[in-house]
Amino acid sequence: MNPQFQEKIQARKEILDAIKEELIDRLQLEYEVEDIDDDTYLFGSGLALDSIDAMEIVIALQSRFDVEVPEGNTESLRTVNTLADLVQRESAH
Amino acid sequence: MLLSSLDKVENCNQILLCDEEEYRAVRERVALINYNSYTKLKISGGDALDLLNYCNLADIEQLPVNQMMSSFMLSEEGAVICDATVANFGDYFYLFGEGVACDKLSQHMKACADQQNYEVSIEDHTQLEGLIGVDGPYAWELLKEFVGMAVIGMRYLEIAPDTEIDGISLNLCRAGKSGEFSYWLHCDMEQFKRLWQTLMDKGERFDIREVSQETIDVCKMENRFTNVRREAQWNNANVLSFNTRVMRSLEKEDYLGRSMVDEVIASGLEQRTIGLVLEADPRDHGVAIGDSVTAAGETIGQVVNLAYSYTLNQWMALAFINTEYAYVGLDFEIGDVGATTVSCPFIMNKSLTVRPQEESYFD
Repeated sequence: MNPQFQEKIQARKEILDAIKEELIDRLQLEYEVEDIDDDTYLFGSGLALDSIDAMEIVIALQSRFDVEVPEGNTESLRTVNTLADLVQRESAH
Repeated sequence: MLLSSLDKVENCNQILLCDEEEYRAVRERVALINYNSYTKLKISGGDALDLLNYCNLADIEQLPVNQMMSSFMLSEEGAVICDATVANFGDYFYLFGEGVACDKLSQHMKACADQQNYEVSIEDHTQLEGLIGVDGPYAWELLKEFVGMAVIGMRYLEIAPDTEIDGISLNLCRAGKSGEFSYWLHCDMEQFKRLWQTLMDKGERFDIREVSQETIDVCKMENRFTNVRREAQWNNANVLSFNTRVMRSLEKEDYLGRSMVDEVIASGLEQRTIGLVLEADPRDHGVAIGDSVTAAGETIGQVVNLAYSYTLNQWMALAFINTEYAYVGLDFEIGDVGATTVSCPFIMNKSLTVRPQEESYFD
């Protein structure tokens, strides 16, 4: 694999795995990290989380990545991948 | 005879380009969709739950009364044969299937029941009952005019049985895959036309439109709901290629296709689906569904769906990509068109910002 791809993938994977670990630990989900696909919906037909869980996710992002979720930012709270997008975007600032 | 993944109603290889006005109705107003082609099987008897559980990836035992569950029916090889929405009405179940002919699905269920010695009754109601989809950020407001505020409180996949609209008895279900407020209206076929017209008449104020399957397919793709007719035909793909791991239950007993699902989990998935946005119009470059995706010249996957998004103002694709490459933020090529992997869903739905308690289409 091209080293440029490798570097980007490694950085993304570390964030995705950390987010999944936080979700599993904080929300006591009965999954392993590898059970949660990156595009899994957090709510509804995916992990079926609720609004209380959403607040836990916001806290998790703050404590683990020092990233704040702006109020009303439902766009980032959709899948594991959209959470990772937010973390990468905010970390780059 | 049991079905295989090759028994789908049709294999669609055409690029998806829907009518913009229809698309705007789904994304900005209210749209009506005729889902009469969906298979509707009424399944009852002492082993109805066991049969449905045996044929589905998801654990139907977890499905409460007056709720629906959306999952996939699998072949013995662990491939997807159709979209399956199971509704629990207490004394009986309904199986709404999309992507396979109703007679074939009915035969498949009967073959499974025979194979497992289940005592069930399977009635094909496809021609007897109609199904209307009402989708859009203000779909709730149109239905509120008929059934009152209760519609606002319905949770996703909840059923309000024996609801009445203009004297027509129907099952009102909060279901659909456009990513907007979506409902299914399940009624006797004899009442279908009148119900449709009633909704169209009342919906005039909402600039309602009838929309085609192509438009709904584009919306499904934007929200990353698997389109069995289009995406599940490639390479007899294992159901887990569609990012469905959380859909399976670890507690559930044996089900059709389980051995292949377990085998893939043990050995590792070769490819999985990821979304891409394209830098150019694929039609100008001869790019088509089925084309290879390459990374720095190396073939790493295959396009399985391709559509134009009026929200993104861009072409989007879904591709099966080798798992080591299936990450967001990478620049690949499809033919000579650049394509970047992105998070799904592709778009932000208007319905996520609409508050039914406080807002109205007429504000």
